[in-house]
Formats: sequence, structure tokens, C-alpha cells
Amino acid sequence: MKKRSICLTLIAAVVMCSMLSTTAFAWDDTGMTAQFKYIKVAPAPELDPSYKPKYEVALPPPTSFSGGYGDVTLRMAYNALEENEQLVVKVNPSSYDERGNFFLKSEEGNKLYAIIGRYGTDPEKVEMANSGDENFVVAVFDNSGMDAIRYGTIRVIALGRDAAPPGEYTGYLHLTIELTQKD
Amino acid sequence: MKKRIIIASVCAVAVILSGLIGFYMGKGAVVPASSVVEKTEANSIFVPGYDYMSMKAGEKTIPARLYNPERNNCLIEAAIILPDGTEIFRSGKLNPGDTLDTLNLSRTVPAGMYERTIIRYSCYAIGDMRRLNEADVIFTLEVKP
Repeated sequence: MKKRSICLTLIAAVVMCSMLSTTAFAWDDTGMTAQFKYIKVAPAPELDPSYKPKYEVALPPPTSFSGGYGDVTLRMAYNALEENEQLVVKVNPSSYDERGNFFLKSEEGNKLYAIIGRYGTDPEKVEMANSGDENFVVAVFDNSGMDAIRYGTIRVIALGRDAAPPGEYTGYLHLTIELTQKD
Repeated sequence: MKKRIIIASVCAVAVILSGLIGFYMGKGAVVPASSVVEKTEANSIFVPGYDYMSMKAGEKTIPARLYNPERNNCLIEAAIILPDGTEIFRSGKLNPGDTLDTLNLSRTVPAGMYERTIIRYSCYAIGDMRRLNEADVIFTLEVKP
């Protein structure tokens, strides 16, 4: 009887130790070291602004690459669209030079012309923009999530890079974002 | 006596093993599953978007919240430009986390519905003020009589 109770106690201890260690070490080594939280609720602001954002879009950083092309993907970071709404992202014409061409520039001021393309989930199916295309849609979002439902990734393909002096070239995109009703 | 020692040893080994298993389970459970996504988004520039704002004619304020999201690693300057190209507001350069709850306009706007009004976000690197990508957010501004 005594042996049995010792045995049961030990089994209980094994289970407890297993659970406690899971909790105690349930933090990783990526720099998250906070184990205690104190949350102080902020007082409500005196003036609640009437208009708050309906969405947040994560623009890509400027396109820099040293190979033949570079890809940048657009995502939403906050999405409060209605079911009948969609967010359309286009390349703004001011991204192009006076001749309607997209270009990248090196720190030395050398210019490298490029073509802008778009694709969705399949990088093999890139569709290219025409020069100065003012309506080149690069992403369409709806209320289903943070990823584009159409296109979503911009590919910038360098032209004539063999003739260009070596260096890192950077191109700037100006995007136009518009909320529209679904068709 | 010998039997007790064996039982005690087995239990001790079981405790140590459970601890180790628990440690690795706990560690494995919080390894970021989307580290690639986090890296990609680390350099992204987050911009807030609106579909509609309104104000009263004769007044020079819009009660709207405009901000540079805290997770951004750049400065943002927002300008509001009417469809005819007239700029009516410029925020100045906002640091990450800066918020405006009222937009103070540089001029009054006659009553009317201004479709395709633009909020132009210009973004700059912190430090060297290098220009970054830009975005125009299109919305409707209604100025009520």
C-alpha cells in the first residue's frame, strides 16, 4: 500500500515536472525575454477623431538589385474593407521619366533603364507594362486577407545592364492606392 | 531494498527525461513560424488609407487621425491635394509613432464633394533623409455647407 502511494506520488511528480518545464521554457532565443507584463489602460482621448484609416498597405522598400531583376511584394497590414470593396494599387506615372520609362540610378548617377512587370502566385507568368502605362495595376486586395487576390508582386527587369557601369542601382516606385467597388 | 533503489532510479530518469522533453517542446512551440515574412516586412513602409473624410465649409480642420505607424523605420510626410492640384495640408515629417488627431489645413475649402482627393505620402530614411518609395491614397473629401 505504501509502495503504491509512493509510486502514484512519483507519477504525479513526473507529469507536473513535464508540464512546468514546458511553461518555464516557453520562450525562445530570438530576443523575447519579457516574462512579466503590466498593462496600463490608456485614458480615452478627449477628442476622438471621426475618420480613422480603413486599411494599411505595406509598401516595398526601394528596389535595389545587382542581378537581372528584382521582385517586391505588396501586402496589406490592416484590412477593414467591406465585402463589396476592393483596393487597387497602380504604378503612378511619376515613377517613369519624361519618356515613360522606369529607371534605376546608381550613387554615381548612372542610369539603368528597366521594365516593370507584375505577377501573382506564379513567377513564371510575369506580365510587362508598356512604357508610361498609367493604369498598370500591380495588386488588388479585397476583405479576405492581407495578401493580394490579383497580382501582388512587382518585378523590375533591368535593360542593357551589360553596358551599364558596375554598381548598385536603386529605383523608386510611386504607387496609387484606390478603394473601389467590386464589379 | 534493491527494488526500491531501482524504482527510485527509474523515476529519477523519467523526471529528467520529462524535463528535457518539456524544454524542447516549449522551445519548439515559439520558434517564429514566419521569420521570412517578418524580415520582408521589416523594410516595408506602412501607410494608412482612407476612403472618405468630411469637414465644414469655412473651417480649417478635418477631424481625422493621421499617423506614421510605429513599426515603420522611416519618416513620413503627408500632403492633402485637391483634384485640381491645390495642396491644402502638409503634415511635416512624422516620426514612427507620431499621430495627428486633427488635420489643420492651410486654407478653407468651398463646400462641395471633392472626389479623387489625394493624400500623398512621401517617405524618407531616418538619418540620411534618403528618399524612399511614395504612395498616393485616393479618397473623397466632402465639405459641408
